[in-house]
Amino acid sequence: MSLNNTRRAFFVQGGAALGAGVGAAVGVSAAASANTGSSQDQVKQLQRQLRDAQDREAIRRLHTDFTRLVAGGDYGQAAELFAGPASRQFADRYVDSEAIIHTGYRQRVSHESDALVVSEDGLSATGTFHVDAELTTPVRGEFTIARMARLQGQVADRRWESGRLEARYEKAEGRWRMTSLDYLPTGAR
Amino acid sequence: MSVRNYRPLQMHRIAYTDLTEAQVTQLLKPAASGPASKSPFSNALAGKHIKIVTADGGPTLEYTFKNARELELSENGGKAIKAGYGALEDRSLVLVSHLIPGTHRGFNLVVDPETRLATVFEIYFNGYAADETAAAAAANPKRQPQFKNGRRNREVQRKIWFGHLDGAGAPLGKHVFTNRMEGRGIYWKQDNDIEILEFYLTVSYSNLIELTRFGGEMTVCAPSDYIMVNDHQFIYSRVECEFTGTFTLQLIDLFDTTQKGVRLGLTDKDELEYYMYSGKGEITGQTATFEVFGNNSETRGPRRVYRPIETFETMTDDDVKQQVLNHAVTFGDGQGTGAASMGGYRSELITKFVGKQLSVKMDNGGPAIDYDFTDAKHLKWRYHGDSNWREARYEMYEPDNELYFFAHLLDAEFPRSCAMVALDVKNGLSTVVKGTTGTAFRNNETHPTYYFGVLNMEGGPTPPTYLRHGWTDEMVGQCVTWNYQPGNPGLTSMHFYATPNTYSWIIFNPDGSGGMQWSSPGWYSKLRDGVYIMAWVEEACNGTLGVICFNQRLMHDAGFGYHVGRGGLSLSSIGARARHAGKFEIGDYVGIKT
Repeated sequence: MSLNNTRRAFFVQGGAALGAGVGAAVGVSAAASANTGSSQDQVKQLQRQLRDAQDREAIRRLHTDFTRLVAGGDYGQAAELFAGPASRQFADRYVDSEAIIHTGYRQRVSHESDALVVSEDGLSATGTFHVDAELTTPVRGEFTIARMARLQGQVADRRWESGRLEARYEKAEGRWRMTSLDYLPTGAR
Repeated sequence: MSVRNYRPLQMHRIAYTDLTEAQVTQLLKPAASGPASKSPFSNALAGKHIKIVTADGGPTLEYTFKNARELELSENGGKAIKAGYGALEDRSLVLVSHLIPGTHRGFNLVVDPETRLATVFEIYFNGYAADETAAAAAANPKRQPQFKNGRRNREVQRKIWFGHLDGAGAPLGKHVFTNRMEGRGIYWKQDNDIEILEFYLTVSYSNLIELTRFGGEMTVCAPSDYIMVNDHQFIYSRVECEFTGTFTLQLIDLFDTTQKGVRLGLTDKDELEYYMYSGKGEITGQTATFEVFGNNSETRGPRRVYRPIETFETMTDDDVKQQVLNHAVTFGDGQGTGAASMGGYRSELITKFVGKQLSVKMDNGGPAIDYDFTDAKHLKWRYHGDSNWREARYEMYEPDNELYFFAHLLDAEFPRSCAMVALDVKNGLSTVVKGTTGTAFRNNETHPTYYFGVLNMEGGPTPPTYLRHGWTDEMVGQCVTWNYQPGNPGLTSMHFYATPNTYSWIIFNPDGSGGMQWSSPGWYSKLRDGVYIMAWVEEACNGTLGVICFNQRLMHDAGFGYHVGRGGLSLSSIGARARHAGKFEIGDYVGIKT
């Protein structure tokens, strides 16, 4: 499947459709700060805020690890950052000699902010990261020079493109993993 | 004239003996006394004691040179061993070569007592299997080790260690890998009468042709190392992988174009070859290089080795017959654009002959074929005088003004052929390259047969009686890059038209430097000034026949590929954009001797 086929380019889609966005993130935050009650409630609220902050930090680290591993070409390790079928999907994409793959990300300054939304129960989350993505097109074909070029790590094309990564996360056994990852070029809805 | 006695086959056609470790060790026994040399050995190190300390986990080598032919070596502080050695000098550099008696390993040193820098080549036989197994296990993704052609105990392995002479602190500077030799070509005349053309076209391969070797019409390629000592002295090494596995190491001095070298290996007759040599050279040319400025290729990963003979699958007669008769595909049978193949820059299809008839007649009993072009992609053809018209799919291009090139499959028989036909309407001439499956060595290789003749068509010129397209060596020495697919860099290679009978191709590394390279036989014919038909067969490699009509005014081609393999028989189109990359003046060295 090609990243060029549609504007909303499929990347790794192991779970349900992405729902939450920037607005939802603001909403959760505002609701949390407006919630004033008994001391016990305040403790619970603080615990929730602390857990929320820890989760956000863990997910940001996960995202940083992911982009570092992709840029380093360590796709096997990157696949381990996904849960369930998404892990296999990601790994399969990177061994598919026909697939256009991402080989690097740069954090991008955007008029929209990156967003992380953690669910009430703290077991799932969504994230949006504005990035410049390096899209790498493989050398295709089974003729001699194509095989030799691939053997040398040569590709047909490398280019950078602005877009955003939209991810879904789940927490299991205390560890966050991605369950889906979409890449959408700028302008895609 | 060199009197070396080779087997009378091209190097890629020789079935080299898969020697056992014991056989190799036995064959190496005479090497314990050191190499031979026509020129006198150097005694620069005689009576001296040096300790070479290397970096990156390399060995520490402590030498005592008793005289010009005997040394003692303590490796990593171990017990000293005695060995014969040879040494040659180039200015302040000393090239030393020796094996360790009773083993299959040894060292070649390049030592500079003035700068106190040293480069160590640790060499060993019987090492391919272990090294290949480890490399396959470390590959990402993992792969199976390549052992189709045996354990390759005969193939010399090498490790390179950069270091210095111990004492008085570490010296300034260092020997480094380099691309400063990339693109050069040198003709060498060695002191043992061997004449050789070497082309250092990439940072990890070299291309060579021994002019004094029987059957030396064809260049061969070998994985190579290039190390810069200073701006005029370089260390060059190669291993003739896929062939004898012989190791060559040279000091090249570009101030006076001289060489000092050592050659170690087992010949195609399984005889020890271990000698040092001196030589005098002539620069033959320089091609362009394509790294960005500032990229000096001083750092690199493991040297990749292209092993086409290892990876080429030899199919049985029945397998090939099945494919050519039942799985033939012409120009994708109308599917696809060719953009992902070698036809990403094809010109527009020519349709001007639709509805017309013409015939070509080749000389000397070659084919005479009548054509009736049904539409833009289908034609009818018959051998002249035969009433039976056959239908075939074709594609036609116009590589030069009123010069057309098209191709189609011939009868469904085994072996199976195709016709690649040039119609020179301005001159009433035609050239046909008939591609046919099978060679004396493998059925899933192809081979071309050239025919020169005339074109008959209504409204065309009277076919000439004497004038013909013909063979040429005008392209010999030229280098041209070919960009086959759009993109940056798309799919790009460089052709080197090395002799009247061969060419080689270079694959670029991601940083633009030249990388792996391989050779094949090549055929060159001239149609018009600056317009040529060039053909090659990837023998013992992919088996493919490629035929291009190359217009050097347009720097563009139109051509066809003919291939048979597990995926069937295919006739496909080639269309690429060229850049001139340089030329070697080698016409006096190759071709017919006068």
